[in-house]
Amino acid sequence: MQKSALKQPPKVSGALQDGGHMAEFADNFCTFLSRAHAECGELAEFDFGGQNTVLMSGPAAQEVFFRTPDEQFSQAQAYQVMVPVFGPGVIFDAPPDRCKTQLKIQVDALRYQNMKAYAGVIAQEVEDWIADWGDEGEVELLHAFHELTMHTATHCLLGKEFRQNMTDEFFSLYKDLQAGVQAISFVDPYMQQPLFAARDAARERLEEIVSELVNKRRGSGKQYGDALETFMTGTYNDGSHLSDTEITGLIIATMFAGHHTSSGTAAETLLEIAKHPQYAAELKTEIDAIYGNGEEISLASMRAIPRLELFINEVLRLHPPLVILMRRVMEDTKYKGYIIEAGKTVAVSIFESHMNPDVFPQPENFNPHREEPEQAFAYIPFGGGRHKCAGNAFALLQLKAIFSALLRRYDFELTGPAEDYVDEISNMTIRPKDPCVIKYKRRRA
Amino acid sequence: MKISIDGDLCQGHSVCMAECPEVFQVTEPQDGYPVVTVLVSEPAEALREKVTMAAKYCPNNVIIIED
Ligand code: HEM
Ligand code: SF4
Repeated sequence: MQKSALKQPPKVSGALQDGGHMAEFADNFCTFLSRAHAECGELAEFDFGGQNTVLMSGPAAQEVFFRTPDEQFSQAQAYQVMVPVFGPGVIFDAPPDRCKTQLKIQVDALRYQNMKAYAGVIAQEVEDWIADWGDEGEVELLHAFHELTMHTATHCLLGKEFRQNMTDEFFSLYKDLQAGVQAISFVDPYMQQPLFAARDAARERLEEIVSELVNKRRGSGKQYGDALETFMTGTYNDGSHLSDTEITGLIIATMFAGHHTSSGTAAETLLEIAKHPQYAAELKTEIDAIYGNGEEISLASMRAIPRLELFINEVLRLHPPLVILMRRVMEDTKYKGYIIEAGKTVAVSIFESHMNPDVFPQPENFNPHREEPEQAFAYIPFGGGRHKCAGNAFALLQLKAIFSALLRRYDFELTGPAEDYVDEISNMTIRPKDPCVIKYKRRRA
Repeated sequence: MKISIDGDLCQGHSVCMAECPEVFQVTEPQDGYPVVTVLVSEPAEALREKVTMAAKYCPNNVIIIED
């Protein structure tokens, strides 16, 4: 087909002179993305602070998004804002072949082989975390899970010794790194700005700490079974190893991908447990049957907890922690008579996909008994294709360990009316609104 | 039992190989990601259970079992 015969994607109304749809998006991306889809259909072009962005919705368009190779839909180009956070030469700033090797090494660290060691670490951290809960009390979920997942993350990524001695400093450096990703970062992440200066200082200090740790380990001949070990042993095609800057970058990148997603999902899960006593009862029956004879939270028993898994799946449907995924269009791309031109950005909205009533009847209801949808690429909390979440096995393992331990010991209840517990919808993520307090009470035998 | 693979989607994390090494092998090419290869595309019926587990636990739905 001639290029001229192809149509441009329809444009979403209401773009402002200044920033296009950025303000509306930042205010409530959920309503904005629903509006974009309702108004324009499968392809909806909007102006994201000067970047023309085409939202691709529905299973068919989403499949194209996920299957199109990197050379055509570039992930690295869409996520340049992360470059000063991860560091120079790391992932989105690395040349394509080095980037692929880095991603491979990152995936390696999260593969099946390491999973057994992680399962043990996570189970132990969960035990320590609830050790002083007592018989009853109240817990603020966002803080509690933030802390727990920081412990498991540092332990699995950087090892036991680091976890014991360095967690606090790591935590405060990580905060500065996170604060360095703001709406203005999308305009220019390198401008003179106190937040960005703090971000850069934090990355440098972290690299110092990591270098020290790496030097201690090199030539020690010991085995650690953590991600750092995998990062240190990984090699490029020419046989060379990752530099300290690159190792630090992979650690930061793994934290950014895995920490807030895990802690937010854990909080949402416990909140849904407290909101739905009838489903919670089913989960307890299941957990009691599995662990009744004192079995350990090992990898094997982690695998088959079907009701809990369905429950978590439904939590991730209704509260996907990552909302929108993006790629930069590198070559003109045709879709059903339309052309998406090079230079634009394409996006998929996970949230919008999960609220599609054709795929998920009564989408706003929490229903862990829902049938799995028949269409592929409709239920996409972890994305899809080559860039699908590398940590999904880790994430599920961790959630199952947490909730096996909690449900065996405690009952949970809201402290106020259910309507008071709402999601915070801003900064491009979904999470429960702070503070989010619930009550727990030890189960009677 | 016949097995096919949707190779575009494979990320090479080897869950399949852990479940059923008789049928699935993950190999690392010179550049880029490791990917699954099928050693026997029509494995014996006795392996059905293991293959089914591999297909089920593959996080990317790469493995397709025909009949
Ligand atoms: C419930 C928890 C989680 C959710 C919902 C989630 C979701 C996602 C999504 C949607 C992507 C795709 C991004 C894109 O296509 O642009 C992704 C990528 C990724 N996630 Fe997760 N994630 C979770 C937990 C984790 C954890 C715990 C880790 C690591 C320990 C992790 C590591 C990664 C990595 C490394 C990538 C990049 C993969 C690549 O680009 O090749 N995630 N995640
Ligand atoms: S489990 Fe699936 S994605 Fe992973 S290597 Fe096997 S086939 Fe590929």
